[in-house]
Amino acid sequence: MKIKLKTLILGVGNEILGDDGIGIQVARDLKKRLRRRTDIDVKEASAGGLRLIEEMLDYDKVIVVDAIATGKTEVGRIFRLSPSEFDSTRHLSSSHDLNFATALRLGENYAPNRMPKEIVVYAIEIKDFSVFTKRITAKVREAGLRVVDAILKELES
Amino acid sequence: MKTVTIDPITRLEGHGKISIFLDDRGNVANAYFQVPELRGFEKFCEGRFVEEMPDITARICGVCPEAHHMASTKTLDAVFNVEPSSAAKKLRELLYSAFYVYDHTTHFYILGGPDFVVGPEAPPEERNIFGVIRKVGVEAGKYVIKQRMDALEIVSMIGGRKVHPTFGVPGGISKPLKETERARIEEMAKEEVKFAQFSLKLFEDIVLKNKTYVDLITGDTYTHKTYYMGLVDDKNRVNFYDGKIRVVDPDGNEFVKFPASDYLNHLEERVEPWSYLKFPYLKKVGWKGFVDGKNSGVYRANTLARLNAADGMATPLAQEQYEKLYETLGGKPVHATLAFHWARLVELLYAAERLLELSQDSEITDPNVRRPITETPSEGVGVVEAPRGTLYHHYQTDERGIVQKVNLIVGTTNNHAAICMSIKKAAEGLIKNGEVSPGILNMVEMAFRAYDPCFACATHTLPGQMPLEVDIYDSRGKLKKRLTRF
Repeated sequence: MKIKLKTLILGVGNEILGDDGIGIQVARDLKKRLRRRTDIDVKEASAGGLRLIEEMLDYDKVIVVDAIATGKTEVGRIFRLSPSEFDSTRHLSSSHDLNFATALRLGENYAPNRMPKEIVVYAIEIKDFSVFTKRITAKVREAGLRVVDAILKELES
Repeated sequence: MKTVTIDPITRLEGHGKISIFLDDRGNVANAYFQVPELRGFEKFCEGRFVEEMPDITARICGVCPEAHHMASTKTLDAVFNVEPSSAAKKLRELLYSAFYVYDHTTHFYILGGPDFVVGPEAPPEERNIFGVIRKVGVEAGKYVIKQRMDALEIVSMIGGRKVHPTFGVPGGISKPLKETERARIEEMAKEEVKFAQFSLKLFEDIVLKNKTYVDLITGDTYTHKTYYMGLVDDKNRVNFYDGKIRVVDPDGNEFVKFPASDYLNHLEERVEPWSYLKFPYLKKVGWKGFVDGKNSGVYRANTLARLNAADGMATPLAQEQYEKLYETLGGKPVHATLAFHWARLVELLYAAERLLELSQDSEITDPNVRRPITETPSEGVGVVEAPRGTLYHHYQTDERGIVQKVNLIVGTTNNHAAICMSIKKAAEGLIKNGEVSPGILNMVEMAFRAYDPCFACATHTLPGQMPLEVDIYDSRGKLKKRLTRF
């Protein structure tokens, strides 16, 4: 028996490392806008890998918002990625306890009934995240606002 | 001079880069382990209310926020000169014990364990959590994941949140524990004790019964005779949350024992031009370079170091395992770097037993968990054992409690010099006259992974294009060859 579909929005990043905090900022913006939606939870996580997967358990859909630093595109560019696109980065190193794709594979293999059916990742290209500050640069902040709009639209459809 | 660069390392918590410099004959001259710089932390903290520090410092690291939160909270006790109630201290230690169960489980099975459980000779694509599960079986794999999550649930029951606990305040914690929560924790703690025993049995069956592994652990490649540091209780037993800092010399004799507030009299930090990270060493012995021995101030912290620096464990089952470790490896102290993995499991058992003890203590549901602040804030030092080594926080404030100065020595930093030494020694065995043996990645990675290093993990950025790479340069600095793992 299916109860109500539940969606999680998970803002990831570090709010004391400047632009790395954009995922957290987007989550906060969305929390205000989605206050009345009982079918949507909004959380923040300054962590990665398995800890993120553990936050996602038992939701139907999860939307992750994070910063990304490919160094190959302009700052503020928005990527909308699905887990299958993460396959190509599966073996890449990360600063997390496990990289996200490996943690995801672990969840799919060993807690399949509790994993969300759909995971979407919004990633915003950033450049500098090596100085402790709470300031987010204008281009990244503006991209964050566009992600807020995109997610609201995605939730309506 | 040739340069061999390994960048970055798989399964390392935080970005790191290894550079190996060869001499004119093509043998190892020096090895450096570098981390990216994160700038301006002190400046960021200065001018803020000191009560914000447990939250801010917990955000330095996405891997061990609990350790920073706890050290910071203890520093606030000292800054405000307030002694928490016994119940509050026990609840803090209870959360911290659950955190240790969680963190050591993660390291043994996911980060460090694959080297042993799957095998040091196994191809890199096998040496990961999936390889571990293939070896131990799916049921055991599910068991590991469940026990890790249970420990995390205990952390969030007391700490308020799963990732960044918010419960520490000067003079205690923010909320008491309900009886229903206590009972639930007790049930989970019983299972964690069994799980720790299961893990030690697994280590015995897979590692200790295999002579090749034991020879690798005790072999010279992974041995350094250094000083060891760890927190001990009043009976000189390992304690993660509180006590005095004890240092033993390479022969295992007590060198010094001091309270947290005295740390600046005993530790000095070496600055090297090639690294943003400092190298702490024992002030009274002095810095003699990246060398081991009694005359060198290089010391080690982390699991095996804590066991070496103590006289035993405070819980019965862990004490048995402690004795077994030293009997098997030839008495105290043990200098084998790879034995840090074994010591981690002895500590896992201690943490689980301590968790159970505390969960059965009737005092922990006492509602009196916060003492009022009556004194003017000034200066304080707070120390805990982070899983990766002794963690020091030191704050100075003005009379309003505004932060004027911050100094931290984080867990892994204690081992920074030793990590460089271990990498060099492993590389020496595998690079001869310019010939780089293909096993070098595995062996070098094993050397530093035993320390469970975690550098500057403040960034949580999704990964970009960063395959594991070895760059080899000729004597004129021209790139000769690039080896890529994935």
